[in-house]
Amino acid sequence: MIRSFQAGDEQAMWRLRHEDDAGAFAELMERWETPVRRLCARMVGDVHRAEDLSQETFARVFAHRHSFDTGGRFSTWMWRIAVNLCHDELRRRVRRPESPFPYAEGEDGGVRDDGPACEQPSPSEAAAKVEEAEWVRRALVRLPEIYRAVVVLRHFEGLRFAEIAEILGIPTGTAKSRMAEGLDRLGELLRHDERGGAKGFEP
Amino acid sequence: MKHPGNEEWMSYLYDECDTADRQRLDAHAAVCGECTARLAGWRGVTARLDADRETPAGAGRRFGRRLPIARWLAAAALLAAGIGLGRWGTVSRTDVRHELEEARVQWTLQARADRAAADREIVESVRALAAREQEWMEDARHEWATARAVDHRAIQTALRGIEARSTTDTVALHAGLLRLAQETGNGFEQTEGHLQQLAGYRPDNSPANEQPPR
Ligand SMILES: [Zn+2]
Repeated sequence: MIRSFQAGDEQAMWRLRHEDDAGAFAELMERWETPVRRLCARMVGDVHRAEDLSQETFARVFAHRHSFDTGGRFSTWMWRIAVNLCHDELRRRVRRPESPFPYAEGEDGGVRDDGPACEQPSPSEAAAKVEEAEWVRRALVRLPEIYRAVVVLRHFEGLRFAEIAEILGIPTGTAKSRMAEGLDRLGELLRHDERGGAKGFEP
Repeated sequence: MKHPGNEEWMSYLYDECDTADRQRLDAHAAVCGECTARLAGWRGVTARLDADRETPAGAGRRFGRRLPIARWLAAAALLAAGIGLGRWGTVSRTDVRHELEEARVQWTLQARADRAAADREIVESVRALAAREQEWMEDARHEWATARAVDHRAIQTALRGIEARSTTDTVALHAGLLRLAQETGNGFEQTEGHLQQLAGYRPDNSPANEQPPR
């Protein structure tokens, strides 16, 4: 979907490396800040942390601009930075969990762990869609990380398996088999949530 | 029947295989209920995942919460000036956007420094406040001491006034009481005399033990 811009990425990266061109950096950020933030939100299940992680990603892109391999693709390099930051964040949470449900997100519209809008289900189609989206986000943050990264990059960001393999440093076949396993597990998680949801939630 | 593996089905599902592979897999699925069921299962999951694609969490949030407002206002003012003065010919949209993005980049890189500076500022202002409060306390204490001294003098004066007045009053009262006592004494003696006169009264023209006249 963003294929036509690909040449532009490497050009902008060249200008950033050689001329410290702020405009080039702005171009890259303009193009990639939203996708990176979206990836981080799905990886860590928290839109606020996703903003921080996205900013950290670009801070690192800038700081490490001279170590970018000019033979490679900018986006692959950038995704790797972002995914690694997400993994670090999740590992840090496992060591020092901030809450019983570290992915739960308090007030304004993030991922919640107590199920979607369970107290008053709305009959409208729009509300049903929002609810379904929340079920999906819930299932995603419960999916083991090795599957989550592949599913998010392939299904939501539209990357090809070969690029995902390069980002994660795994063989392409492994990326594909993780995708299949990830989809199977997501199916189970979604069905499990439904069964749990049908019984109703404890306050 | 040899079933295609997960890897092949994933390429098929995400449209990454070539035409020959696609035809081969289509043909297999047409005759294999097991693989058709698995494919249907995966398609069911990906269809459900798409619900989150339509309403991704925080999709509408373009910028972070903690961007410095002042810097953005300055950039926005630049943008407004470009429009207001009709200078789009000289200030290009790209330039303005670069200004905006540059401000953002700078913020990203200096966020920690800014935060540290802000922290220092807060600490300093708290210290200044504490110092000023100390001054106020000193001033207040001094004022209070002065006021107390003034009050003390006033009270002393008043007390002395009361004392002097009460001495005079006591003397006057004593004199008054003495006078009253004397007068009362005199009056009492007079009254006693009257009573004795009344008790000893005998009318000269009436016999003793006679009924009193009606
Ligand atoms: Zn089969």
